[in-house]
Amino acid sequence: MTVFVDDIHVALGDVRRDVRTAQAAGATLSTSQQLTDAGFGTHYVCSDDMTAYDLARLAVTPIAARHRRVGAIVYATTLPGNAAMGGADDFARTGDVKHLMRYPASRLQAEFDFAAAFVVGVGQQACTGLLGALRLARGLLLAEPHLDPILCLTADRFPAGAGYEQAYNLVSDGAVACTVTLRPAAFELLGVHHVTNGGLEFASDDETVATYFSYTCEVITAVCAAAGFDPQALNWIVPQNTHSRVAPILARLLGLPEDRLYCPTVRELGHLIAGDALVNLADLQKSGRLRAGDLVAVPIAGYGLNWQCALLRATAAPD
Amino acid sequence: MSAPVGEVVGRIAEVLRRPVAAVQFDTELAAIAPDSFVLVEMVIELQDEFGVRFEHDDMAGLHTVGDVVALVERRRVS
Repeated sequence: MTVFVDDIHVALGDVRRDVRTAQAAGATLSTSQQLTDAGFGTHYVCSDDMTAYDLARLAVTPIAARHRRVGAIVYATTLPGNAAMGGADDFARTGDVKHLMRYPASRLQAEFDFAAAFVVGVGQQACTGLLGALRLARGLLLAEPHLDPILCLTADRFPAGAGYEQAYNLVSDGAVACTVTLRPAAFELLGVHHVTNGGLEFASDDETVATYFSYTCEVITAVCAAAGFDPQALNWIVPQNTHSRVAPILARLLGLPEDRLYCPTVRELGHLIAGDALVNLADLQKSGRLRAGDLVAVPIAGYGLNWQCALLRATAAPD
Repeated sequence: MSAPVGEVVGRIAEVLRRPVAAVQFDTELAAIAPDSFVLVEMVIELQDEFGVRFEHDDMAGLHTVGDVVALVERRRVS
């Protein structure tokens, strides 16, 4: 049985600002010049009234217009606070913990009338959560095909007062949604590999950078091996948006030409938490550069520390 | 077989574009490398140059030039 990824949609925080404005707002550790040199130009943040759930709703709306029914909703969040919808005040007033269990996945299911869908929350995987969602959805479809299609999404906004630079990357608030389906679509999902090193839970930014490369190479190699491929066979590596120094180093370690790394949205979006790699994937799909049969690795690293990589194969299916 | 210490130190100095005199055993890497990406590039160069392969978490334990030299020697004999 073959599983596909389709319907990639993105929603961004409603305030776009450039690196100078971000620095002036105290949202960065690096200077605007350093961020510019690192490849960043602008990022998107939520205004005070915009929630992570608002982002989720915006990303899912076009999918709901196409799919009247989904069999499951796999909802990933990077920040634990985005996996609940308030209720702290009611809890403080009443001492009743049910107020702390207002789940965005349930709200989404009700709002879009996905009555047949059950919901799953994916957490504690940081920026790799959307790949974790894809992996769960793939496994669910292989075990229970009647769930087809499954809605996967990630939605996060940083809390008020947060800095928007992590491990030298300028961050954006946003959401990305897609479907995982048995119906032939743009990308065949061949597998996802995941490594966690809990010993690096408190890794500094420099330790995060230092360990990024070897673990990323490991998950890329492992997911390729599981599908019977050598990493040299990869036509594209579509990573999360990071500092401009990352791509050449990663390409060198993998023994691949740097032009096989595809992350064209760095300057506009920065690091869209758990969603930017799929934004880059959708961009690649629209670019016209993708050919049927192309192998695409999508590696993402996140705190925890976690590293995941999805392996996809472009199909000849229509967009 | 271990790599000559002077060769390792010399290569570190070359990659980091520092005079060898500024690269002593007790020199903090943070003092001579402009950022952590340069350190990653330095490690890749050392791996290629001396035919060693560092483990996942090796880099997290590197703080001084002496740590790097010791790691190269350790991996050369392991």
